[in-house]
Amino acid sequence: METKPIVTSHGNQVVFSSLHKRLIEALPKEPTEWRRSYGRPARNVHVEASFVPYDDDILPDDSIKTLVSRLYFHIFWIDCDLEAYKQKEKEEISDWSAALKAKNIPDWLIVVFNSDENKSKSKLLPRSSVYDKIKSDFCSKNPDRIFVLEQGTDSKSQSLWNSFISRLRLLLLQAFTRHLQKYEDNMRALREKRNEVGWNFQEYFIVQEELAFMFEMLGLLDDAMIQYDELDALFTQFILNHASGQSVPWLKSLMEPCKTWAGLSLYKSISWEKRDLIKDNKASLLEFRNYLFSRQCAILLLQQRPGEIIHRAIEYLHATVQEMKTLEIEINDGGLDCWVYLSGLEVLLKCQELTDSVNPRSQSLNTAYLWDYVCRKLQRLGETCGLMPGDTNAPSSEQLSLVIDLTSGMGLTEQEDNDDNDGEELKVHPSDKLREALSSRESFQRIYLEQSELAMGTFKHIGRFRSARMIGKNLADFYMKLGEPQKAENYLSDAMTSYHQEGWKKLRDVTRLELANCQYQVNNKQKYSKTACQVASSNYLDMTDKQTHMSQVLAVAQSASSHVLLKASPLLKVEVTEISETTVAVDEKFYIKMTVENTGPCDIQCNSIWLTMVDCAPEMSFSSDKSWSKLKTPVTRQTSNSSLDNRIVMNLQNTNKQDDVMIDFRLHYEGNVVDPESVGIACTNSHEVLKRSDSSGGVLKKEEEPVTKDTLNQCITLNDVMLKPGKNFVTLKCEGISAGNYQLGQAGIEVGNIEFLTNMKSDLSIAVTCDNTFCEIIPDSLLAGRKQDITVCLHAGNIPIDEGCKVKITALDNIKIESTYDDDTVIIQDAVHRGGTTLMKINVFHEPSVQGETNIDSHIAFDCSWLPRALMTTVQFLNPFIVSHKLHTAGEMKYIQMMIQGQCKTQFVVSDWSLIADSKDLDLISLNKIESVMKVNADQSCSLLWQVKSNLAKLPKIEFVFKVNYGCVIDDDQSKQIIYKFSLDSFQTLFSIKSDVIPINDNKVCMTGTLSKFTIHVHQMPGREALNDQDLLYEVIGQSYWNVHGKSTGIFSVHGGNYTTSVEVMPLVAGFIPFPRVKLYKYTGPKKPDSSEVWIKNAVEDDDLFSTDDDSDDSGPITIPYTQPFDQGQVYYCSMGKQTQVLASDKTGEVEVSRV
Amino acid sequence: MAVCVAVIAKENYPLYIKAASADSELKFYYTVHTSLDVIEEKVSSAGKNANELRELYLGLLYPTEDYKVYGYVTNTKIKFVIVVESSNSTLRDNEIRSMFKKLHNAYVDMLCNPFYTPGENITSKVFNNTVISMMQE
Repeated sequence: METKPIVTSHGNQVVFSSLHKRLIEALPKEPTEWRRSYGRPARNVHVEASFVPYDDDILPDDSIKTLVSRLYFHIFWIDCDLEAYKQKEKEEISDWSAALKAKNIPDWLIVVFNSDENKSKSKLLPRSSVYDKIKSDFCSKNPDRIFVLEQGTDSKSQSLWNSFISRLRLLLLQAFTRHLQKYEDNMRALREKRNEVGWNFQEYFIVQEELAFMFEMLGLLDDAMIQYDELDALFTQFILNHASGQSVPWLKSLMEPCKTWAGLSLYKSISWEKRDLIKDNKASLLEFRNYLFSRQCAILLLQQRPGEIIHRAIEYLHATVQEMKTLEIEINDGGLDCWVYLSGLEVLLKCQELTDSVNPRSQSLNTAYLWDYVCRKLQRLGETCGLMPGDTNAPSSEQLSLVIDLTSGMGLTEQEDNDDNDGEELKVHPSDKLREALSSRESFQRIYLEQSELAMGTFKHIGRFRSARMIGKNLADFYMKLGEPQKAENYLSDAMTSYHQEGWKKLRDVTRLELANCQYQVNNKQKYSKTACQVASSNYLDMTDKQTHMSQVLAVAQSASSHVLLKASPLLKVEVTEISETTVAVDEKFYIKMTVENTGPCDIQCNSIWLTMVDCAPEMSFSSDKSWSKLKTPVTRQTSNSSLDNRIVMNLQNTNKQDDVMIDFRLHYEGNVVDPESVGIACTNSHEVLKRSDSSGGVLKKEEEPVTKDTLNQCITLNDVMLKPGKNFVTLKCEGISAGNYQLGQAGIEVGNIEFLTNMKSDLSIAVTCDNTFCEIIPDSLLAGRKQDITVCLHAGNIPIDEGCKVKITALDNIKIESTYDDDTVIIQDAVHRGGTTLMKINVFHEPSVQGETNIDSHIAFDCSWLPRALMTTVQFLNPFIVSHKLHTAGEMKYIQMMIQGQCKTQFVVSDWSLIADSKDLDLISLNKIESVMKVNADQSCSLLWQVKSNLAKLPKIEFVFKVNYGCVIDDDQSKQIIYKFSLDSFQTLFSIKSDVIPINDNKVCMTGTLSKFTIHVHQMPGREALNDQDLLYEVIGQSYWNVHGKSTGIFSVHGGNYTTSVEVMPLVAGFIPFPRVKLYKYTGPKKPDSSEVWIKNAVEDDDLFSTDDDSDDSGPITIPYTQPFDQGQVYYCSMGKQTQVLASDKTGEVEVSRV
Repeated sequence: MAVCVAVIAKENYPLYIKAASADSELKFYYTVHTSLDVIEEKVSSAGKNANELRELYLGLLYPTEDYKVYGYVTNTKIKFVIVVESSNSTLRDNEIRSMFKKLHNAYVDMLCNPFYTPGENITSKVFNNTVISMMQE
């Protein structure tokens, strides 16, 4: 509103017009503080003014109660010299002043303009200038009412000008204050009369609005807004009072039947026509409200607060609709909807380009809501006027005439508006839009869809998804009516999903029902079946709907060309309650009891019900010693740490009811696996089991997973079952399941081509075992050499044994079997059931083997008449003792030692021993006690000794036979004999070697680090075969005590029966140390080999020189040096046990003493 | 006089919804569900200045032409929604506040029952009677 306070100017118009432009510009440049009465806050105001020439007639008097068009201030301009003033101007001023006084106007100012010529004079005669004259003539009481201006641009005239402007502002504001105060007093007085008869709100409205105009004019938009808000509140209060019975007469004019429902118009900031209507008390409620709101909007627009406009618009629309209802104003059906639509759209269109700087979010939020509101109104209109799709009939004649009425109702004022606003034609006007929408179904649909999408998009944009879903659902309804279910499907399933996720079951089911209808029309069988099943099992829906969809699903099941897999839940709830056995054999039957709950409305005839069994690892269920080795290597931890590994202990008990969360037990141990410090079971998912369910959102289920059919595992099937609504108990007979430990896998219910699947969550399990018939021998460890009673357990396994079956026991290997049965054949007396056992007692004996093995494995065959093959059972015998022999030599004398070593705790006695040689040239002289009995066990062995005597120079190979009787102390039967055979060859002594250590130089004793002489004497035994031609080789082995200097080996031959040589040796350690060893070999090869060249074939230990092939000395060319050791007993080393004393040398600071 | 009273769990699923008339029940389900948008917004915007003690009463959530929806959130994030008719001008903010207070007290009494598991649908008769009395006032 471009009005400014009006100021009159009188006097010298030439002066005024020269200053006019400057004045208009200068006034609003700086704000002036405006202090106001009634303690209202001071405001800074940019004062503006518009100037009109003065005329006596236009002066207002007190009776005129306007504010805006009032003449606030009067200025008299004067520019003349003293003469002129006296002659002419003085009279003019006094006329002017008198006129103002007559009207009781104190707001005036006389401006004296000093042109250059007057200036000098005034200086000469300061007391007699025009200024002084006027001051004394007119402004004696109020000297601030006169002001002097000077022409020119110098600083003095500039500062005069500035102070003039500020004086003028202040005076203007004073004038405003005076008028406002007066006005407000009047207004308040008028308001106080509101309950008096004859008071009229419309009148008062105009009065207070004037105040608002005034504030708006001064740029005080907030204050202007307050005036309107007060009016709004006052009006609302009247309506509320009316509703509660306090009717006021002036409301009657507003309550006239409403003929027009033109929307709000925001094109102009003020509509004077409407204001005049209100003034004349002719406006309808809608018009009044429109006007009031348009004024509020105008001010808000000036304040650049479009968000506030939209926010207020919602309230305004709602409140006005309520008021229309409260006042029971007659209006055409749909008229109010038209009005809301038009007004809402007007606001939206006005605000859509503007962004609220204060709160853009709140703007978009309210925008979304307003769009939604507008859309709903459009939908209502569409329904009223028969424009919604899906109606087969064309709009009826009443509906058509209604459209015409509605169009005319909103058009009347619109036409006028358009006439006034030619420049605004470019914009799409809401009424045009509505007219278009109401014109035909197609355009209605287009506009409705367009605006709904807009509303939904805006809601989504600001994150109000629930509201967006709601619109989506409305849109889906619309599409359904439009016959485009495929478009509706997405909206519905989105809505359904979000209701489902949030746990709004009723809304979910209602939406599901719509979705099912939609999918049925789309003819998507898979999706439809799924949705329809969910519908059928709903608790919130009508029985008829459920039945319709159930029967449609069953029809789909019969007709569908392809197989449809669906989740069983929620239509069918499958639970396995019991498995008849925990363990069965392979070919045994067992039963699984299932509860199938049909939550649908009617019977379901299903082709089959099946259940898969999943094999789980066998060691999980049967914990035994063997399982240790199969388990993964456990981590050994500190005792303080506890470990949980993956050993699942499966619960094999039949439990009838499971919790939702299965308790998952694991083996738990502390410390070492083999020797644990503590062992127990621990629950690995304790956090899940013990989770608080009250405050931790456990109620909502997770997102559904796709359905896949389990085709891998073994399956049990039951055909043709009728499932009645409610719980059905089904028993599945299980046969032919292969061996294993099974848990329940997936259950499926097949109805026609639809299969309902569910994964079983159950800890029920069954072990199917495949046990063959086998024999077990008790006790499992037996001793050889004893007759022992054993028990044979014949485990029937899976094959029951009938009465009269025969078992033939046959000993293999060296076992002797004695039994009480005829022909070693057992006839089963009592039938043995599956898994049962029958016992047989037999007596077994096995010869001990003296040759050294600890255990003897033998086999017994059980030839069962009902089995195709004989059962082989391994029997293990422990050898009770081992017999061995040893040859001893002392010079020429030979001894044979026999040893019997026990291997078991069981005590045996041996007696009646004898050693017999097969040669008569040999005498064996027993050195043992005669007729004694010796005990043998694991801790006690026995030795027997014979001396061998012979006069022959060379003995052939001789066989010996050692016989001994033995018996077990705990057995009372007679003793048995063992025979041990062995042979000896060339064991007679050929050479004896003597050696000595002699200190050399003057030493009396050997010193460490000092060389000594080591002499060797080889002597051939008399009476033996001479070996003169045989080259011999000796070797001195110093071991760790001696260091051999020079050659440690030498080749010689024994001529004359003796040979003596010496080598130098140096003791390495002090103390009594044994002599170096001397070994003798047969030598074949060059006579004088370097010792390094001598290749000692066998590094044999001590004097155990085993013979190799005797013929070797003839073989091969002689060029290759070759040594051959002597047989055992052929060389006797006399100095074997000799020792010599070695003293520590002084040279070394340390004494090294070795104890031997 | 309320036309619909709803109690909504922390996870936004309904614990209790009672409408004055059975016919309009579904409509109020939608209304209450939609109001959750506004409640979430108000609660999350209040949560930004955590030091301030949040007022439980959320005020008018949103008006429709016929109804006004008011919200209230307990400290345990249980939401109460009361829907009143727009035409009922006697109900001011204070009346609504006292209705919520009453509802909250009834809810707490109901929750004190050891046989009630938090998160289950509310079936308490006493609670139901309180709600019915709020609708008949």
